Amino acid sequence: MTELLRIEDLATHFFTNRGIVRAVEGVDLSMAKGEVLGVVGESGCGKTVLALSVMRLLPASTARIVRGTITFDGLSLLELPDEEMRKIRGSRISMIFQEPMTALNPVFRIGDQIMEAVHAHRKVSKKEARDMAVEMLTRVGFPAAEKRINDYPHQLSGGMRQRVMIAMALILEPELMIADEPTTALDVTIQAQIVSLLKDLQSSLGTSILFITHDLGVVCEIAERIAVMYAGEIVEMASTEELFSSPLHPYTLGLMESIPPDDLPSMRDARLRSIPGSVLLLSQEVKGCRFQERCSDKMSKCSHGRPLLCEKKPGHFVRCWKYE
Amino acid sequence: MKKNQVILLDAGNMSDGQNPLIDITSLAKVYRVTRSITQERVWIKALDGVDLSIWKGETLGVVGESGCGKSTLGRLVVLLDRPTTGRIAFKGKDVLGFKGETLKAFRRQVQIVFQDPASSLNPRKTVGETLREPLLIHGLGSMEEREEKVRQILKNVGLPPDYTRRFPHELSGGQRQRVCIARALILAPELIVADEPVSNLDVSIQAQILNLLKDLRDNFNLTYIFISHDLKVVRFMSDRVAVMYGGRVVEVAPSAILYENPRHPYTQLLLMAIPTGRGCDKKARLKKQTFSTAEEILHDGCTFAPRCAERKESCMTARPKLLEVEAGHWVACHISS
Repeated sequence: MTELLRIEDLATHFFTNRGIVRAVEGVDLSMAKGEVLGVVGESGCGKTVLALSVMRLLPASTARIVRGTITFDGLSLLELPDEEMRKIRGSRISMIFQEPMTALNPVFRIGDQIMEAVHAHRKVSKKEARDMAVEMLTRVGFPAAEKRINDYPHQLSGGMRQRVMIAMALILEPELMIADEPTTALDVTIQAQIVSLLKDLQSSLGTSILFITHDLGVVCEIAERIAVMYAGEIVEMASTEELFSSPLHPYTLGLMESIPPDDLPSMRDARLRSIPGSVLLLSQEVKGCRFQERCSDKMSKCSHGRPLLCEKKPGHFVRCWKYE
Repeated sequence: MKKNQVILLDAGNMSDGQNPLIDITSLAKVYRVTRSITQERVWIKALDGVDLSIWKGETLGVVGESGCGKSTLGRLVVLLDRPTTGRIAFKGKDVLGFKGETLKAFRRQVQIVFQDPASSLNPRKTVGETLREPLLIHGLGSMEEREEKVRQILKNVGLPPDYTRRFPHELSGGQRQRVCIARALILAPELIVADEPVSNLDVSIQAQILNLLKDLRDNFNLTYIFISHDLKVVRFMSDRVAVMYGGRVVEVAPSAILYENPRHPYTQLLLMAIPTGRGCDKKARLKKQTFSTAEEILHDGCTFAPRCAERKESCMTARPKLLEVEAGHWVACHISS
């Protein structure tokens, strides 16, 4: 398998009035061509900042990538001039967001917005761009795309809007699509439709997807491999089957046990094994493991040094002193 | 038919032959809305003839997607809004007729917890002030007794007593929701409507709040109407579940039965759409049916008919009645019943 994306020791910090927020702190990650990699974590774990770092869409006034490299198909993204990066964005790497209504421009017809993406990167006539847009809309499941291409975003339902975003992201057949919580704002039945649509498109176009979500259920539907993030770090990474059948990190375990199971003898008396405390604030400086305060298996070692992400089994990485 | 429902649900359930705590009959709510751009005035039928009963001590889950009317139902039950038509009875008395003292007494017994704890707490009040307010409004206890009660309730919801001096912005999302629960609980109500109480919280915090709600239910003998779009959470919390679509209840059953043997095509679709969290048992998932994506809601026939794969002609024209298909299991569908 050829490697498409490699992130090494990436650290993205925000410099605010109240101090430094270490949103991403030493992330190592690689993705093969055509792979779907899920990134799971709770709010504030740095998963969106990770995506924005790859896209180089961080707010320039506060955020800075303080160290690390991102290599995309042999190109070092962080060293590219802005002009070159702009050529890659939208054509070779594209992104879809959680809330399609805020990502779409409310005063332009959806067709024009999709065509804009084409015109930005390819020298094609208006007619050709329009045909491409209609074809792509049909592929993402728009009935009567020819006609609905003239709709405005407000005329569409949430699910349909997200389909427009997907059409826009995939129309130039990028090698990598970053999907940041693409189904979170949608109803369950629509969520299931969008996930299966993404799966179909992924296998027919061969696009790699970096799928970011807080929802373990959704990610196991689509991802081949999953990275679990906590407080700016990857704490565990494995193939989907392996992660769900034998999770190692106490945080991963806790997350899984926090989801209500459906096979309890008495639901009324059942309680969940929840993780105590709340998510670590990224502005807090921690000596040692960042999960130690909430961990049920804490040892004295945990407060001394930061554990490394080690390969416990082939392809199964975990960042925990228990396994070192 | 309504009477029937009460008696039969009664027999198959946990009510010990008593009257229901809340009895809802043909409840409807129409909102008049002005569309922002076109200024077009439209009527939205948020709730379209709902019959439901809730018994003391049970948790009734209400599940459905956005716009199905589940939150409207919750708001009407606690009288935050008045229904357009229909009847709500609390312990046999007509709630809509309550005025003055009787209304105030009703409000003590029925409380609500909302989805977003940040926007349902006053940012300028400390936790202590927020929790004291209901006691002051209802004129309960002396100053010392009120302080004691506030400290006690904080302990009940798992917050340290010195949190009385904190402001909402100093708390995490989970802690804020604990404060909201404490505020609902402080008047010792019989019924709490929990409207998506964990949807805004992270998974690990969700589990804490769900456990807390169950502990409080056991300790204070509470009755819940638990509203959520999350089927897994509803199953974990509820004794009985009502599924709503397009402002109507399409299926009601004890939760074990509903999840094992869903009869309404919409319930079946919902259950199929749940991502399999644990174990990733992809093979065991039912083959997904091809449902249309039509969004319109049909008010003459079955509200779900435009999306239903099994619809027949009568579904488009005749409204299906909620009928009992087995003990305690009610379905409104021309095909399943």
